[in-house]
Amino acid sequence: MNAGNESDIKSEAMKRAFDGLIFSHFRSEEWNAAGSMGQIMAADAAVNESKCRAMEGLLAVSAGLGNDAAKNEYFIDNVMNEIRETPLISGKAWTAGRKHIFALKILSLAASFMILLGLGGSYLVAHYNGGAKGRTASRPCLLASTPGGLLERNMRQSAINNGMPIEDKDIIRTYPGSCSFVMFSDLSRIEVGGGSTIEFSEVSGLNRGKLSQSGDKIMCLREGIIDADILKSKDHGVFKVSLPGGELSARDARFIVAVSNGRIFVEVSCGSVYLEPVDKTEPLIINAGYCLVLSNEGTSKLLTAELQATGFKDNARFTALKKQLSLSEAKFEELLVNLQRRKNVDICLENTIKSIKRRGANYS
Amino acid sequence: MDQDKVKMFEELLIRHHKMALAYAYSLSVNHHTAQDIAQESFIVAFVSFNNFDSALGSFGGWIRGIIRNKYLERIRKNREIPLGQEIIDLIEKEYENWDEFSQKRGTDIFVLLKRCLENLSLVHKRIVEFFYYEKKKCAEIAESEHLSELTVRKRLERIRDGLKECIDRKMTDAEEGAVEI
Repeated sequence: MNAGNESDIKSEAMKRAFDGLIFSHFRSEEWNAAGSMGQIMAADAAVNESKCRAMEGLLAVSAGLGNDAAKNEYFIDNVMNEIRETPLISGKAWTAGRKHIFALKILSLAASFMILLGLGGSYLVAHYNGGAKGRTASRPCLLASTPGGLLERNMRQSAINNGMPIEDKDIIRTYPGSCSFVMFSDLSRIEVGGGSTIEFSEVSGLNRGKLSQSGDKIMCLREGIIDADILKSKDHGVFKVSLPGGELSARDARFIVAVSNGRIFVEVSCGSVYLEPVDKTEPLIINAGYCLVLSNEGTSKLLTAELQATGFKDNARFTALKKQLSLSEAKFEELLVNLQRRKNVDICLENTIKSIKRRGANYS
Repeated sequence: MDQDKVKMFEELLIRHHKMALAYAYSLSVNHHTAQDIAQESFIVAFVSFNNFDSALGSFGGWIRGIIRNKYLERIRKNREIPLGQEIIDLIEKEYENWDEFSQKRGTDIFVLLKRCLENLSLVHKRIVEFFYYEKKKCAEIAESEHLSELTVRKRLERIRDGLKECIDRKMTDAEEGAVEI
């Protein structure tokens, strides 16, 4: 009995399983067919709908909307009246050729823009690094000082703060024992020694766009000493120092210039310095390794080593004395002592020019 | 304003306005909407007339594109259910065929339609006149003709199919040169 029941159950299960399989198989086929039919019917419906609508449109126009001439005319008149009041978008038809030209125009415009951008960038960079003639420099001319440095601006004196910018007509005064530094926009620098007075007449590349058209840096050393390291300026500007006995100018040079009681001392350690005397005689060229002392006296003595200006030996005012430097005034000696202190070297006041032919003075 | 362009546009307008109206009606199935859409589309077409390049397509196709956009714009604005894209494409194809035929044969499609309408039976003609000319509703036509509304609808459908077939046949014949239109 039990065995019989078990076999019945098994056969029932087998039957149901097959039924299930068969059912699902046919059902899926039905569903697929239904889906296909649905798609076809939808497509047919779309075609029918479109045909119907197309014919509806034709019939509507044919019958009601535009059948008679009056209605057509009315519609056309309406449109044309509105058109006559409507401005036309300017330009020609956008043919393929025109599109091509337009694309080229856009490309050329973009290229021009890029070039302009590049030029503008290089211009700004150039300006930042010193600037061309008469153009705005973005880098100011900065000051620094040890205690004892004074800045006179607009008749007012104030202590120099490190990093403060210089303006035209500023005057720097330094007490003995102190010194100030000026860094120009082209990274040239000067060191103003103790007991000096220097007035900046016109300084190229000053802050706030105050620029010299010539690009020159012009200042007046009334008294004292300057140790200058002048770089070759990109704007071809010249470093000029007005002195009581003349005007000194330099480019790409390192030198010391000192003024005391109308006497000028110039010592060049690198490059060349031009000194134009006030009496408009031919400028003196002081090359590296040479030193010049110029007196404003009528029969001044030129105390220098190998003066490089030809013809000056015959000039009554100057006398070149090789490897000799005689100092008669105490104040000038003081200046040299000042130099000695700053350079931290000993200065022998006799036979001083002996070993000056290298960068950086050596007063041994 | 360039008078030559206005004149040229006017000629195109005269030539294409009926088909443009029909197309607008096919999309909107409303006389007033169709007129508005067609009118707006022609204004847009005129404003951008300089951008129309006849080398890229016919004026008919261009104006239909504008009408389609105007229709969809209006539908979006009024938050209505738009016609399916497939149907719009099929309608466009139908009009493109008719437009092409008109250009090729120099015969207006409405001339073919007129001929086909003339071939209709009297009963069918009456139904067409009532429905399309007098703009009567199916129920009204059914009442006056002593028919059921469903019958009127069915007949209208058959009439349209018949007219479509008639036009297609005449177009085919014309292209084959078998029959003079």
